[in-house]
Amino acid sequence: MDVSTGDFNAPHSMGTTIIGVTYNGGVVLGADSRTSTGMYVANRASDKITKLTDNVYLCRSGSAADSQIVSDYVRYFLHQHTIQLGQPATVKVAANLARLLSYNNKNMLQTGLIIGGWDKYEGGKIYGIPLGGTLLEQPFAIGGSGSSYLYGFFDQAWKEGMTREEAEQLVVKAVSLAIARDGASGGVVRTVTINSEGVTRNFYPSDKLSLWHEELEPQNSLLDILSTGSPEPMTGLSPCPRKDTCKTFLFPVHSTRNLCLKYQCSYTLISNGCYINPAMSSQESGTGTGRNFAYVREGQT
Amino acid sequence: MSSIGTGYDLSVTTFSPDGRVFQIEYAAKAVDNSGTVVGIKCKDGIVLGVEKLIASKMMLPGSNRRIHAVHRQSGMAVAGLAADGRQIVTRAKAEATNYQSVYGEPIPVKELAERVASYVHLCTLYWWLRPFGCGIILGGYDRDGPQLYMVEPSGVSYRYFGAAIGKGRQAAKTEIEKLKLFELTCRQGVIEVAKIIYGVHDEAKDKAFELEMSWVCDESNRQHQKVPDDLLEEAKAAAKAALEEMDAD
Repeated sequence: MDVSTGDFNAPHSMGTTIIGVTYNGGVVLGADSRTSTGMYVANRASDKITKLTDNVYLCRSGSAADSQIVSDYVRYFLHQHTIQLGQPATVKVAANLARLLSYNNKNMLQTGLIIGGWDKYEGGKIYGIPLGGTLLEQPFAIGGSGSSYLYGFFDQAWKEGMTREEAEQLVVKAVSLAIARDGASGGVVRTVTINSEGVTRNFYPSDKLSLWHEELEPQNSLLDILSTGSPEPMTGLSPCPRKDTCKTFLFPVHSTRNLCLKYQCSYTLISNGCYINPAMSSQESGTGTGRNFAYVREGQT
Repeated sequence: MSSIGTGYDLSVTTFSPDGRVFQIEYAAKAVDNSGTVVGIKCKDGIVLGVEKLIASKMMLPGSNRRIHAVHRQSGMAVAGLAADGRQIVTRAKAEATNYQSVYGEPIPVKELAERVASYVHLCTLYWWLRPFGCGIILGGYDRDGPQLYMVEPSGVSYRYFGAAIGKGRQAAKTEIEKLKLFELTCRQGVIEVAKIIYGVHDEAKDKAFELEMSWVCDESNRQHQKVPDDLLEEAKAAAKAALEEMDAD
């Protein structure tokens, strides 16, 4: 998220997509995972959703260093406040502390924040704190460079009083749409859901996201596409017992023996799922495509 | 009850051999000699009442207020040295506005009481400061409901259902304990407090007094304000009637 040094009069964009959405009973925060320095992706799996207290989290965008420092200060003040108060801090207090830091140091900082959390007085709340240090309580908030592509989307897709599942799916869909169009956003989608029962973190790797208009399926190499046709269903091979439930493949790995990265077992990743194939390389396994990795997509077998 | 700490009572930074700080105890005596202040927590709010002893007939009624609003939702009644009280009220107001600007919400009553108590305690730690000669009854209505706190000159603060300080505090406490505070609304509480204050006022020793009352309750929209004049008159009338009833027996 460090912006390349250059002409300060040129418009600065924040390489990120961050979203915060309220639903009936809590909030869902979502973000991409790309940290870029200029054209180089410094961290492709960063966590932009930071914990302030057990019930309040913060999405960071803009300068990575600035947003980290601000979140450290807010966490420190909130911690003291919680001790004095004798009960968990409210989301509003957390947002106000962040806003004061942003506003009073606006000449030195370049960071846009989205604060989301749950407290017993107000329930789930989202506060947006853009660049200058305004504090705005909103039913949903978007931020970062990728958010430019989401204004119209939210105008249409947002509705009041969603369920938790609807809200999470909305957030994942929105971040993935922004990633598709914004070069400074990418990687995986992380979400944090906060309600009266607690906090849940979710992780959606890039291969679990839908492909949008004109997006290609991930390939190892274009040669693979050229060489053979589509994958055939496996014959004479037994499937991994976890095949149907295992949906968390990590990043595809280039190797002749592609072990299932979740369980590190002898089941090889093949396009329709995991099949036992300890001795053969992926070429001989009969996939026919020579693809060295595989993935499971929502809606596909 | 009163003891003389000869030699150990000259400075607030001196302990006596039996572990007491006499200057603080003497400060408490300044409170005990002032007009009674009563506070009760009813089921929907707080009522504060002060027996304001009038020093001179030339004083304008309604001046020299003893009850102060600290913040929109909290008020403070002071017993003891009035000038010391004013200092504490100023500090409390500053704390409340500071909290509001830093944390973005009105100061919770518990937090305010703790800050006032720390400030009062602060002035018992240094030999070049004398302790405050006043006791405070602090009442407020925040998100956790109505709360009543009392701060003593030593700097301790506790939360109460009903509290009284000043000359008539013993009798007032007895009367408060008779009340069923959980069932009283503030409207009824105002009448009861008026009766208590008229009851403990010693006609022989102090001639005239003015009754000053305030409340924070649902009816006042959770804001601290003077009890409305019509209700105040009603309360005074009820209190005087109750007195006559007592005398008649």
